[in-house]
Amino acid sequence: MDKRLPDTADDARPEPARDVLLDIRNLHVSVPGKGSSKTIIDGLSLQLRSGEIVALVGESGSGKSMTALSLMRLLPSAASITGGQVLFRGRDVLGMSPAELNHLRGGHIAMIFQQPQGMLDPTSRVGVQVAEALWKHRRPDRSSVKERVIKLLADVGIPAPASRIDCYAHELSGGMAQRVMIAAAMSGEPQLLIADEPTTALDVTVQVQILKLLDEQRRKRNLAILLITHDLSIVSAIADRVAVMYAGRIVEEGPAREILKQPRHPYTRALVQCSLLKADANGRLYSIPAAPTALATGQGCRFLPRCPTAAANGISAHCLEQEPQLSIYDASCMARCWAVACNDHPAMAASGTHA
Amino acid sequence: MWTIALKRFTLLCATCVFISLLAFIVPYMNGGDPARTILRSRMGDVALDTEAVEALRISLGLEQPLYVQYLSWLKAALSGDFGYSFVSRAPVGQEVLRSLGVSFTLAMAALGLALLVALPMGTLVALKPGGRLDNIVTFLTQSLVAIPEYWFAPISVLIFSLYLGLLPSAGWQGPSYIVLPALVLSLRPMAYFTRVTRAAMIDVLQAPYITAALSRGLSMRQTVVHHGLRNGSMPVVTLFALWLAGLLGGSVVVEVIFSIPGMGRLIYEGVVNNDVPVLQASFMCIVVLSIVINTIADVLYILLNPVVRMGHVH
Repeated sequence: MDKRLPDTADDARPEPARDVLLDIRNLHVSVPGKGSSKTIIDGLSLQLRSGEIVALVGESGSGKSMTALSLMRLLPSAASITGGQVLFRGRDVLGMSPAELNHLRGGHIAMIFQQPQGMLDPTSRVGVQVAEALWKHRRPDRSSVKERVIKLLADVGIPAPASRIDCYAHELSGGMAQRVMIAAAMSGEPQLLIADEPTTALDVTVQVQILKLLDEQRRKRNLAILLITHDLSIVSAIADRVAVMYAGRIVEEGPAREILKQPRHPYTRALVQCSLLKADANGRLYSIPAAPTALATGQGCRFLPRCPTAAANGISAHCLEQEPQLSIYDASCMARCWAVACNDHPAMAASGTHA
Repeated sequence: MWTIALKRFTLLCATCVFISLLAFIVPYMNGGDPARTILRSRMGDVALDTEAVEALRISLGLEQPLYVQYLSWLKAALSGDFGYSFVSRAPVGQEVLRSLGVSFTLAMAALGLALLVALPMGTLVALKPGGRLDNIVTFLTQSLVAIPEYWFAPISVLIFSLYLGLLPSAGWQGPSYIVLPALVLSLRPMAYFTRVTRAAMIDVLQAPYITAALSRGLSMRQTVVHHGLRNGSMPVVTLFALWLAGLLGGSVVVEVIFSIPGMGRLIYEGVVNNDVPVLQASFMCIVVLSIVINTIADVLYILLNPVVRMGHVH
């Protein structure tokens, strides 16, 4: 990792270490339109190790959920993967046959979603849905299934699990439904859980419980979790590492604690500032200027139109002409900003002395 | 659940009373004098003696006010006695019951066939909306809807009975007699069922729980069977009931062409002969049966849908 050249991290990623579970390399996803196709994920690279929680953070439309779905090869038919590699324990997910995919889904990689109640079939009993991955991937004895489902439900903190297996989705609260989804995900004994905004639709008090539960499952099963969220407070609560996405690309990545304490990329900095909910001198809350210029594929930095640093210091020629690479600034942190890559960048003066 | 059932039952009774009124009165609107019709049916087309007509009218109670006649008719009808046919002089109740059985068999055969084709076809097509198969099936269903039975029935007789000699062309004497009329009757419901299944399944397949099921490693086929069909077949259940009720009295064309002694033909002949008791009884039976069938469909719908079953309807 240390030998990496500072400004070409995208191209020269070293071979992953042994314990790397999921290795996403230069993933491209696009939606073909009339004439031109629109790229929604543009060269995304990310690694996950066993037992690690990595948060993928970004605003709506930045491509987080699409990343998650493409890892499972569950993209909506309108979108397609146009390049890159996804390696799960060294095996290429993108080249898998339908049968291999069915084996991978649920058995190795499981997923939970934002709207837990909508994710449960309204006409099918909870116990049946929890048992599905068990049947599919673990070939259980017919006689032991019920018992194992009850144990799974108990394991995710559902009270009176034996009486809940005959419930339907509409009889559960949002928090309970999410617990059921987690139980259903765990029944196939996966090594990786993709959690797509698992707490967004829930009450704040329930959010904490669900996060605790995820953390507990991680410890118990040495589970890796790719946690997709827009909520930085969740990241600071349980994530080991964080990757910040903007307009289909990762703009900053590193250990969660360090990134949140001292973000370098102006976008991350703005996100952190937003999440503090602190009013400025004029009594106004901070917000990132303007709407995202949805994936303008110009030459310059994609964040430039909204970049507060550039606005404050004057736009430099670098920012206009060329998109910055992900470059390393600390032992393990990377950011995609000219201010990080070049020490002589005018923005460096404003971003502080830690460079 | 029970309050829903009670409400439904009350509504059902009210509807039946209202319908019985209509069933009693409407055949009289034909304009003919029933006493004359009866006499003519018994004596042939001779000049009728006015006194005899008057005597019969009094003996039948036809000179009484209409509401008295209605009440006595209703009282008898409740015990299954709908009087005697003006034409055949047989008890109407039995005749209607027999015809109803025939029509019901025919309708179930036709709708069963329609469902057997439509459910898999609609589901298959919904997997790839806009695909080649979808276009072909859409074209076919549109054509089937447009083909009238009075055209298709003779054509099918021509092919299967006359040229191929496989099936009988008319009558009602055994299972082989059901095939052709059922086939002819099934085409239009088949087209509608396919369309409704397709639309419902396209909707269902986009539901998040389908993605969730796939994410657990279920194959597309397993997902459709375990999570798609039950959700996607609900509108078809309702449609099935509507068609069944409709076909019980509404397959006149097919019954006349294939000379099947069903409800359609009974009513048709009743109208031609101004046979008031037959019309009253048929009308009453069909409407009550339709209501019963629709109620059964509602119950089925509730059984299929746990959200409604447990009274969580807003």
